[in-house]
Amino acid sequence: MAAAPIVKTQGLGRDFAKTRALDSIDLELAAGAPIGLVGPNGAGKTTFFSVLCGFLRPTRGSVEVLGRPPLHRDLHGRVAILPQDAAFARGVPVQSQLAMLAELQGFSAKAAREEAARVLKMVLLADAARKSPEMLSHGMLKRIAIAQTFLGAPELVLLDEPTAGLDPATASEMKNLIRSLDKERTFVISSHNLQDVEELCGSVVILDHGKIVEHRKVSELVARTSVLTFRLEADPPEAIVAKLSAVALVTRVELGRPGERRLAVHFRDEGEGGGNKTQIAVLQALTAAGVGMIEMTRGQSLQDKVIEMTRPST
Amino acid sequence: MRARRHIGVLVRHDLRYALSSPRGLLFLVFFLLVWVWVFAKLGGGFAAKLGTPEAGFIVSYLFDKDIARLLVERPPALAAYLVLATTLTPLFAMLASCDQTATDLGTRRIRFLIPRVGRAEIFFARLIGAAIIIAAAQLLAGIAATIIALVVNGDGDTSTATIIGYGAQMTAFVVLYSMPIVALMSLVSAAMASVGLALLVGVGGYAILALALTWLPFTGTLATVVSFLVPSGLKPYLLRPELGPALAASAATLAYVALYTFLGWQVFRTRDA
Repeated sequence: MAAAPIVKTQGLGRDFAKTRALDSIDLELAAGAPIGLVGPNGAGKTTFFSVLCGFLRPTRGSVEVLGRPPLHRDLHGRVAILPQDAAFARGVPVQSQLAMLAELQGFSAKAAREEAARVLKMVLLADAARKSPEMLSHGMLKRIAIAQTFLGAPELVLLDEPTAGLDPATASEMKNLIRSLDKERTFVISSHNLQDVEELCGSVVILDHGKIVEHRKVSELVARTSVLTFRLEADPPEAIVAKLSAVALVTRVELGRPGERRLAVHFRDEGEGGGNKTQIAVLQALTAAGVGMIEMTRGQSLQDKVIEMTRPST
Repeated sequence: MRARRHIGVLVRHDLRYALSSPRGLLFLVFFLLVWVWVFAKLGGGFAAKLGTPEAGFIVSYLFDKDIARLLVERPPALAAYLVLATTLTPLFAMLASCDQTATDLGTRRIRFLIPRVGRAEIFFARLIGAAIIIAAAQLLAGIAATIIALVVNGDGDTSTATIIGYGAQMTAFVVLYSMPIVALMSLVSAAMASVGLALLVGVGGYAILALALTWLPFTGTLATVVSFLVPSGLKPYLLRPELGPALAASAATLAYVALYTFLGWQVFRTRDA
C-alpha cells in the first residue's frame, strides 16, 4: 500500500483581488527525497507555501498537510517553514528567540536553550547566539531563519529560497546540511536557483501563472545524453536550424529567445559512440556556419527545461 | 493544557523583553515622568490644598460637583490620583498596548509562530501580556498615591486602614478601567498591522470622540449613546464617591473588554498572516 501523501491538494485556488495566484492545483507530494518547487516570479510558489502553512486561506479547493488541514493543532511542530520575508523581533537575542520557538514545540526551558544552541551550531552561527537581529547581516539572518526550521524533529520542512542572499561558500554549507538531513525529513524547496534544485531534489513541481506545468522526477525532466546545449557569442541565425536539422540523428533544434544566445540540439542517441559522432557533426556544422560558441553542455539542465516549459507563448 | 502552556511561554517572553524595547522604554519613561511630577506636586502641599472648601468650590465650578465631593470625602491625594489616572489611562493604556499583534503581522514574525501555536493562543497571549504590563504600571502608581496620601494625612483624622482601603479601591478601579483600552487596542493593532498606525488611530480616534462630545451639540439620548461608544462614558460613575455606581461602572468595563476582545479576535482570526 502506498504511503499517504505529505501534501495533498484538490482544486486548490487562491485569489488576491482579481489576480488568480493559484489556480486549480491538484497535487500529491510523497514523503522522501527533497521536492523542488520552481517557476518564474509570480508563479505562485510563495503563495502555495503560505497556504500549506495556513498563513493564507485558500479561496477554493482543499488542502491537507500530513493528513490534516493547515492550522490543525496536530501539525504544530511537525511542519516547519523558512518564510521568505518574516523578520525576527528586534532587540531580542536570537538564541532567546529560537529557545522560545523550541519551547512552543514542547521543549522544557532548559532543553529549549540547548536546542537553540544546537541549531545555531548547525548553521555555523554559534557565535551570534547573544546578538540581536539588527546586529546581524542579511545572510546571517537567513541562516538563523533556516536554523529555526531544524528545531525539534519536523516531518515536513518547507524552504522558500534557502540559498538566496548567501555567499557561495555558505550556500554550499546549507546545501550540505539539507543533504545530511533529507533522510530524516521531507524537504520541499522553492528556489529560483535551479542548479540548487537539480542538485538537491529528487522530483520537481513546476508552477507557472498559478498552475502546475509539470510534476516529475528531475532525472526524467533533464535529458542527460540526448541533447547538446550551447551558450553562444551571439544569437544564432535562423538558418542554423535547417543546417543542424540536416545532421544525421538530429531530431529537433531549439533556438533561445532573442538575447538568450542559446541553442539546444536534440538527437537520437543510438549508443556505441553514436552520440559522440553526432556531437562532432553538430560542432562542424556550427563552425561552418560561423556561429561562435562559449560553452557546450552534453545534456540539458533543469534551468533550460524550466525556461522552455514556462516560456510565454508568442 | 497545551494551549495554556503556549500562552504562558509567549507571555513570559513578551514580558521579559517588553520594557527593553524602544516602545516599552517610551511608555515607561512617559509614565514615570508624568506620575513622578504629579506625586511631587501632591506630596509638596498641593494635596492638602485640594481638600479645602475653596478648592472644592473651584473644582465644582470647573469640572463637576461629584469630583468636588470626592476631594472632600476621600483623602485628597487619592481623589486627585483617581481623577488624573482615569483621565490619563486611555493614553497610557494605548501606549502600553498598541503593539499586540501589530508587529507580528507587520513584520510577518507571526510566520515563525503559526507552525507551532494556534492563532487564538497568539492573540490571547499578546492581549494578556499587554494587560499585565499596564496593570503592573497602574498598580505601582496606585501604591505610590496611597503612600503619598498616608504621608500627607500624617496624624490627621482618617485612619491608616481607611486610606489603604481607599487606595486599594481606587487602584482597582484604574486597573479595571485600563482593560477595555487594552482590549480596544487588540482590535486596532490587528486591523492596522503597524504599531505607529495603531497608536495614531487609537489616540486619534479617542481624541476625535472626546472633542465631538465636548464641542458638538449632542444632547439627551444621542449624547448618552455616543459617550458610551468608548469606556470613557463610565468615567463619571467611577468618580462618584458612592461605592455602588463605581462598582457598577467597574463591572461594566468587563462588557467593553468582552466586546472589543471579540471584535479584535474576529479581525485577527480572518487576516492573512
